Amino acid sequence: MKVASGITQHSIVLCVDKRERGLVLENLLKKKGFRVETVLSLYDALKIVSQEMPHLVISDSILSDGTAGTLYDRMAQHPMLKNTPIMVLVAKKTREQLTPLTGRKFAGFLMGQFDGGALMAKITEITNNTGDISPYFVSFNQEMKIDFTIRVGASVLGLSGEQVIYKSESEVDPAAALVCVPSDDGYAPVLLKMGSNLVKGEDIYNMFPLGRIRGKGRKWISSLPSVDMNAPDAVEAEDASDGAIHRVVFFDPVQKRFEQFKEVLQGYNIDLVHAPSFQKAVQLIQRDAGSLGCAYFQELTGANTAALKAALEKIPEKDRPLAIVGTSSLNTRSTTQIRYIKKPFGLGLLVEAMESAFKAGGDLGENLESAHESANIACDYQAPAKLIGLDETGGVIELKFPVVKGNRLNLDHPFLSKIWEGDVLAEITHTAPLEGQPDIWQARFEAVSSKGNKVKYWEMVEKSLRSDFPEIFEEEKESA
Amino acid sequence: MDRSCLLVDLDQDGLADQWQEMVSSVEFPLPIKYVIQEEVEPMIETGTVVMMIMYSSKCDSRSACDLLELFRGRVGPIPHFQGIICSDPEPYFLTDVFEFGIEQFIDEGAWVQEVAAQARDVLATLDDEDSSEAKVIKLSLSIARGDQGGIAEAESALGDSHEYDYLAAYSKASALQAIGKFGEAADVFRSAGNMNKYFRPAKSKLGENLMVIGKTDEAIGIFERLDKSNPRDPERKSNLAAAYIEKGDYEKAEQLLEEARALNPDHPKIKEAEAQKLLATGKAGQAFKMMDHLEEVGPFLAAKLNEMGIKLSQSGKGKSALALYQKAHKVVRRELRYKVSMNAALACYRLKDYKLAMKYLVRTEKEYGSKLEKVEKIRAACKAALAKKKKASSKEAS
Repeated sequence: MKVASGITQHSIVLCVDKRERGLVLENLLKKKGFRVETVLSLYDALKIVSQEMPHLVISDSILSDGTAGTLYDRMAQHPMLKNTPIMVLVAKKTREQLTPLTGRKFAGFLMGQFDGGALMAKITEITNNTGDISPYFVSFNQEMKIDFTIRVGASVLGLSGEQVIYKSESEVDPAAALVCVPSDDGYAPVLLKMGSNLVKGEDIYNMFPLGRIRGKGRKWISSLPSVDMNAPDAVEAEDASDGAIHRVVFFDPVQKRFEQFKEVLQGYNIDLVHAPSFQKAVQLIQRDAGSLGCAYFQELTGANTAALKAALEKIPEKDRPLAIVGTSSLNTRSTTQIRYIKKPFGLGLLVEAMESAFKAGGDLGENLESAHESANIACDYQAPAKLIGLDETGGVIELKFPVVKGNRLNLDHPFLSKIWEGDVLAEITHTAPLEGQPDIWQARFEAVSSKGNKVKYWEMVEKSLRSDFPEIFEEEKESA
Repeated sequence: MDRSCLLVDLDQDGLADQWQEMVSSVEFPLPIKYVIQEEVEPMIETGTVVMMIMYSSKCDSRSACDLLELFRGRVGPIPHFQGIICSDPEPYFLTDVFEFGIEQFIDEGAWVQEVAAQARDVLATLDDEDSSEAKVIKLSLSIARGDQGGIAEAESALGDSHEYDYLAAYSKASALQAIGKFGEAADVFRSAGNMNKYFRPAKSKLGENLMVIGKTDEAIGIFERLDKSNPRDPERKSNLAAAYIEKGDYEKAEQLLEEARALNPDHPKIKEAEAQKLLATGKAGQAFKMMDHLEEVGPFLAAKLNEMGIKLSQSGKGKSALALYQKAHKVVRRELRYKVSMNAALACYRLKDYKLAMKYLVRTEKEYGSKLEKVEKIRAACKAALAKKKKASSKEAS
């Protein structure tokens, strides 16, 4: 079974004798992407491991109320925790520190003075045993990976120029392909692509370009009312833009490319303003924010992305232009403020991204309040998915496109519905493509209903798995 | 049905030695055929090609556009079944291929995986018999072969999908154009363009069909708007030139042809417009000579040639009309040939060469693929004239 790299955040319980050292270690581990819980006693350590089911425990040899040896023994008695790896930090090779460790199978030791590099190397060695999944992960075999549907509740509001406006429970990724299935059978489904998001307070609006929508339902979609208060009268089909010239700050260090883009985009009523450097682009955005359609950046480094976010935050929301970033990185995910388009891209994609940015940055948000009255067709976004396996808080699904981290989706899988007692809402924690297969994405989710004691949750899941899919555990016995 | 994907090496810069090894590292759902530019047409003629990927890191617009034209005409107007491997395409290159709806660019470093993923999508789409794409390919094949019976059958298989799917609408309009219903074709091309405003081929074709039905001013408006967002398309410049020739503004037309020549002096549409200009200015002899250099002539000039032939025939210059039809038949697109043959039959009828007229009628039906009411009428008239002639000659003999 292949699992996308970096999809699972490993969790560590850190048991240390001294708070200061704990803070240093905790910061280091968090920076490396781990989820860390720090405790200062054996008592607290035992309490938290039985709640958190960590993927690794790192403990000082001697604790205020016991030793790493006692911790090992107590965890070994627990059926759920007996295989949890424990790594011990031995400050001094004294008899006092070493004796409690004898006769026990610790996953690793770190002797002497603290060495961050050696610690990380050891942690990587231990976590590599489970790779990109939780040590509790139960993988589904091919027969069990049935197709199921992921679902997000939404409603269609209407049209704004060439964009169809939805209100939904989730932001959408521009790379996603979603089927809009209206609740009323009288409306045929449509396939939605290249969505972008507009977040107003707690409301999430998704915009999909009309030209990309396919399927029988396109007939009713194109006859939706306009949500624009000042919608132009019958716009001529060949030139459906609003006719206004939109200024766009265009960061591209290559002068020739900028000049060609400027010439080409002029034909689409887009006027590019050249920013040969990132700093110049930020200056222009800050100076002209209110009069800009959007800003485009040809690749951004991590530091520049952070600087751009900070610069945008300083601009009042009503004037803040959306930033479009052309990137060759596969791991960037769009947000409401920054939309990534994967390079190399086609011309239509760039123009469409800019046009939806003009819409989002215009007075669309103010118009949407009245739109609730004009059209409000309930529907679901749906897409096929496969359940790859489950772990102590959720599991991993496979899709044909990325989903937005932090969003909540309904996973209409019969087994999940059974164990979650019908509440199939899950939160996406990570998403990444499978290496070498750009059309296959995996997402790790956490069950919203499983929040609480992980051990109890996992006991229940494991029991159901054993009853419904005994073959998984037969394989386990054979391999044992 | 056998299906394959062409990998066209426009750069010819070492890919030939590596592609097989690279492709073998992934599971490829379609057989992939490595070809150079010259091999594309014969491969497409086999009727198995459903996908085409061009390797063009040097942004070779002219070659790419030639091949995209070929794919559109012979396989189908399906942009997402095509792609270009080029990590850093120049904006001009993006614009040139966007005329064919192409937006799929693939990074040179990861092309194998990306193309394999695209091929999986293509295959899944075609395996769904209800997909517009499967029907569009069938229809395009019939149009390319000039098989009118096949066109009618494939067009009816589209059902009502042209009402909600821009590709189906574009294809239905192409079918209507192929059977000579240019007004209806214009309406459906317009509808395809409204459904997807970024699908420029629909608007270009709308302009061409408007010209055939005489709505030259409207066609100029459309071509000029398209020219504003891409002033580097020699085909559009030539179409605009043809429209201005039609309006009698030869100066403007020549200026546009000059611009088209500067972009691509070998573009066939330039010669079409030049031939049209010669015909319009009464230089028929030169126009005839020019026709030897034309190929795949579209509906507008074909209509002009038919119109001129009819005029010649009606004014008693039947032999000249037949000579014109002979040349026209050689240069017009396959699906337009039956009309030339039928007009040739009519010219023979007027010349009282009924036997030759009957031969042209047989050819007309063969090209059309089924019976045609007009052909039946001409045949009946020829038979009656032949019978009359026979009666008269037997009377004379007796």
